Amino acid sequence: MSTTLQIFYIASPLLLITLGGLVSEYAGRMACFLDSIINLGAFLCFAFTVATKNIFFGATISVLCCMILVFALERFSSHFKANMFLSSLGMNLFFTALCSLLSSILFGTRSVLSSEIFSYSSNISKITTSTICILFSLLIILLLKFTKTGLALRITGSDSDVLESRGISSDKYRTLSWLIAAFCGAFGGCVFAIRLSSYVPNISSGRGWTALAAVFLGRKNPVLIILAVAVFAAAEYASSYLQNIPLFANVQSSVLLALPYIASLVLILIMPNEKK
Amino acid sequence: MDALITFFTSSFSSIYNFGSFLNNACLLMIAGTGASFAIKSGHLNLGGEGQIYLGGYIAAIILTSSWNAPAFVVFTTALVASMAAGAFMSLTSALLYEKRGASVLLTSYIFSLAVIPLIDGTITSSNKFTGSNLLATPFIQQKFRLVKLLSPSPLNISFFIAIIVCIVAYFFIYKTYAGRKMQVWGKSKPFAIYCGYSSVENTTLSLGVTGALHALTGFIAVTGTYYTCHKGFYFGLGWNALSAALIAQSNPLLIIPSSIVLSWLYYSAGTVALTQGFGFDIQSLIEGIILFIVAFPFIKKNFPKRNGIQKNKKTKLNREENNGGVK
Repeated sequence: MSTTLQIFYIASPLLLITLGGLVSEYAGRMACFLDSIINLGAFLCFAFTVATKNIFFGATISVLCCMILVFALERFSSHFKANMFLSSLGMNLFFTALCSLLSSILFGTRSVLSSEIFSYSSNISKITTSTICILFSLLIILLLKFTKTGLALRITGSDSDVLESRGISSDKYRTLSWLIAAFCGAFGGCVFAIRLSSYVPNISSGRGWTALAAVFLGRKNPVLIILAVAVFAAAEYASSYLQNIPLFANVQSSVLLALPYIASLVLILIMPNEKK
Repeated sequence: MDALITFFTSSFSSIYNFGSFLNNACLLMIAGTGASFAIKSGHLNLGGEGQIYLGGYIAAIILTSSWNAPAFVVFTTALVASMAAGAFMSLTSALLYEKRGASVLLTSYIFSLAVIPLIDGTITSSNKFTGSNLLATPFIQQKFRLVKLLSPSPLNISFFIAIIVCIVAYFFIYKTYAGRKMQVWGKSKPFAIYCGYSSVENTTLSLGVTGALHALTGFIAVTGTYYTCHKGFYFGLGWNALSAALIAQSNPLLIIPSSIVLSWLYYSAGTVALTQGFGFDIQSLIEGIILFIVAFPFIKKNFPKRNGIQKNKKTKLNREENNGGVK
């Protein structure tokens, strides 16, 4: 039971981030900035919480800042007809550097940031953040399944001509998809920071890319995506707790760090063929 | 003002700085040429850093081994093994693409993320028992080091090798049948299928070469610049090489100037960060901004394509375009 609960705690923010990736995939614009927006969200959450002394304001302002930043860069790229895929890769590098720069300017260090103001009970934070993540995930699934906006988002990537012929701007939905992805990523970052009661550089640990892999493995189907996320969460749990098992006590930590990525590749390899 | 002057002049202020900046350009040229093979064939290899690291690590391990063979044999074996290791990484992505339809950019990056901590761990654990540095492999012997061109800077004969690699790649891509087929795959997948071109052949060839060239970059970094494989030597190289390739529109000849310009930019930013009290984040910021700027179409307008297949300007905005022409 405890193991299942731990996997659930790991899976809940990953699911939210993955759904952010899914929305961007539906809209035909893979949000390659997901990994770094998690880091930026986590950093800003720490910074604003310390500044306002209120976690609610800290997390909200952090998520809003990330969304505004992504919106501004998206509009700028879109206006100048940039290759959005490359733009998102550029954003990924830019946000990572921005975290480090802001950390050194605001706190005088690029290392781990902690504060008495930013300190939470491990169990309570896990339960609260998991619940919120699941609620947001449900909202996104409901949005995609049962609303006109969701329908438009789902066909923006594959059949944008249909939208255009009905006088609906597909560009608007592409922008919206990145905003949703930025929201999910940034909120996921806040969750990781709150759970650790600190900001750790590269707190995302590749979860943004894992989320995109889960989108691929789930073949853009929310149910299959939930299964893929559960498998990745189990792999992450295993990588964290494997050394506690006597049989695996001597397994190097580097192998454990690589385990979620190896699991991703193995899953892709063994999953049924999709290519036609 | 001092920072600005330092930025524009630092790369030319001494033999060391000049040689170092050209040496960085050399690494970008080789890795950038590798990246261009993948782009030309319609894929995107984001696992460049892992491939560079693996290539460098294999080279360092073989060149510091106690194998009693002539230096030439050991050196050649290290070179071939490095390139084979890099090719293996990218060919795994090719396999996953061909067999499972998995996006190359995703699998190549995930493979890279898996390989990097494994190499880090291997470096640490292998040195635990020798009592040496935990952050790097032992130094390679003098006889395996590439000949320097501008001492004391790390610039070495690999600069000429890089230029040769670019020229050979140019002739392969634009002047051979196999290269033209690769371009057709990159421009229009349906047309390539219509022509009966083999997808497996295209993916295997282009990704095999891209992995091998990235690993060659790692090999040259170890034998010509660092003489050891230290943790994180690959950092930024893969992304910067991708930027160089994208700026040059994947034309290997244009990668030479684009690498030199980018290298100057990054080296100058690093020098400014070091001498003017700016954090090294400024270098990473510039890297991100450059990759962001590369996405804008005015780059293409300023570097019109003279070779290869001309793209129809009125192409439909479809999913492939959104993903940079990458399937």
